[in-house]
Amino acid sequence: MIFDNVYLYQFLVIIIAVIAIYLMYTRFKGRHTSLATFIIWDLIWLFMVVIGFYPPITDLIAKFFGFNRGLDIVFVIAIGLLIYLIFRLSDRIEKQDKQITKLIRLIAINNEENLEDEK
Amino acid sequence: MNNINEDTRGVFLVIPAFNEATRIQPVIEEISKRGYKMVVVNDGSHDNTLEVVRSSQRKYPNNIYIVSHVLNCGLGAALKTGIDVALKHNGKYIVTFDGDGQHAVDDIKNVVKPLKDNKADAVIGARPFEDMPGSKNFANTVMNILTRIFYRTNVRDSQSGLRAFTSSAASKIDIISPGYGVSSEIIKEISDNNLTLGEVTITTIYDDETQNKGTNAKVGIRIMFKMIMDLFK
Repeated sequence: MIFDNVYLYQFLVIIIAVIAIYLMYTRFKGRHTSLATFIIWDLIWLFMVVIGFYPPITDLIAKFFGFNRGLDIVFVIAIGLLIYLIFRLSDRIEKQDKQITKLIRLIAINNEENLEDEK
Repeated sequence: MNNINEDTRGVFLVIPAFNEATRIQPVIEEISKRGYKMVVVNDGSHDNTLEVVRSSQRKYPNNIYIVSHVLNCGLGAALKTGIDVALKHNGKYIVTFDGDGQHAVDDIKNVVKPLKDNKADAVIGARPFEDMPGSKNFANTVMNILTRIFYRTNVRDSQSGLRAFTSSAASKIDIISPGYGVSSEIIKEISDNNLTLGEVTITTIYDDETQNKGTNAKVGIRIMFKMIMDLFK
C-alpha cells in the first residue's frame, strides 16, 4: 500500500494542491482565466500530488527519458518551464510597452495644443 | 515676427523635450526669431517644460506647435510623434533638433541644404568628435563602430541629434525603439529604404548640463544589447 509510510510533506503537497486548485477554480469562475489555463494548472497540481504520494514515479519517468534520478528530470523540467515563462512574460511586457507608447503618441497627436484652447 | 525666407520655407523642426525647462526657452525662441516653424514634443516632463514652451508659443504663435506625451516614452517615441505632426502640417524638410541648446541654430540651413539641392534624402549633422569631452568621445566612437557592424553603414556620427529628412524620406522611416537606440535605428532605416545619406559637419555647444545627457557609456551598453537583440528578430 502506498499509505504505509506517510510523511508530513505528502500532506503538505496535497493541502497546497487543493488550495491552488481551489484558487484557480475561483479565478476561472470569476472569468479571470481561460478554461485552458485552468485545466493546465489543475493537471500540473494533480501531477504534483501523484509525485507526492508515489515518488518512485519520477524515477520511472526519468528512466524513460534516459535520466538516472527522478529528481534530475524534475529539475530539468522546472528550469525549462521557468525559462519559458520568463520569455513569455518579457515578450508580453514589451508588447504592452509598445501599445502604451502607441496610445500615448496618438493621444498627443490628436490633442495638439492650440492657443485657441486656452481662451 | 513671421519672416519666412528662402532658408526657412518648408522647413519644420521637431524638438523632443524631456525636463528641459531651464534650457529650452532660448533655443525655441531663437529658432522662432529666424522664422522657422517647429513642433515641440513634451515627452512627459516632470518639471514645467510644458508651461515654459506654452509661454514661448504665446510670443510666437505662428512658429511653435506643441504636443505632449502624458507619460515619458523616450526619445524615439518623441521623435516619431514630432515627425508625424510635422508631416501633418505639410513640412517639406523635417529637421530633428535637440532642445537643450547643444546645436547651433545656424546649422539648420546647413543640414537642409543638401536636401534642397536634391543631393540627399536624409542628412546627419556630424559633431566633430575632437570637440567632445573624453567619455563622450569614447562612447560615440564605440556607437559608430557598432552601427557599422550591425547596420553595415559607415557614418561619422551615428548618435547626432541634428538630422534632416525630406518629407518622403521621413514618412518612410519607421522608428520602433523608444529610447536612445533610435539614433542608430534611423541610420538602419535610411540604409534599408535606400535613401541617400548626406553628412554635414556641425558645431556643438557643450556645457556642464548637456554633458550629463545623451550617449554616455551606460546608454551605449544598453543600445548595444538592443542591437544584438534586434538581430534575432
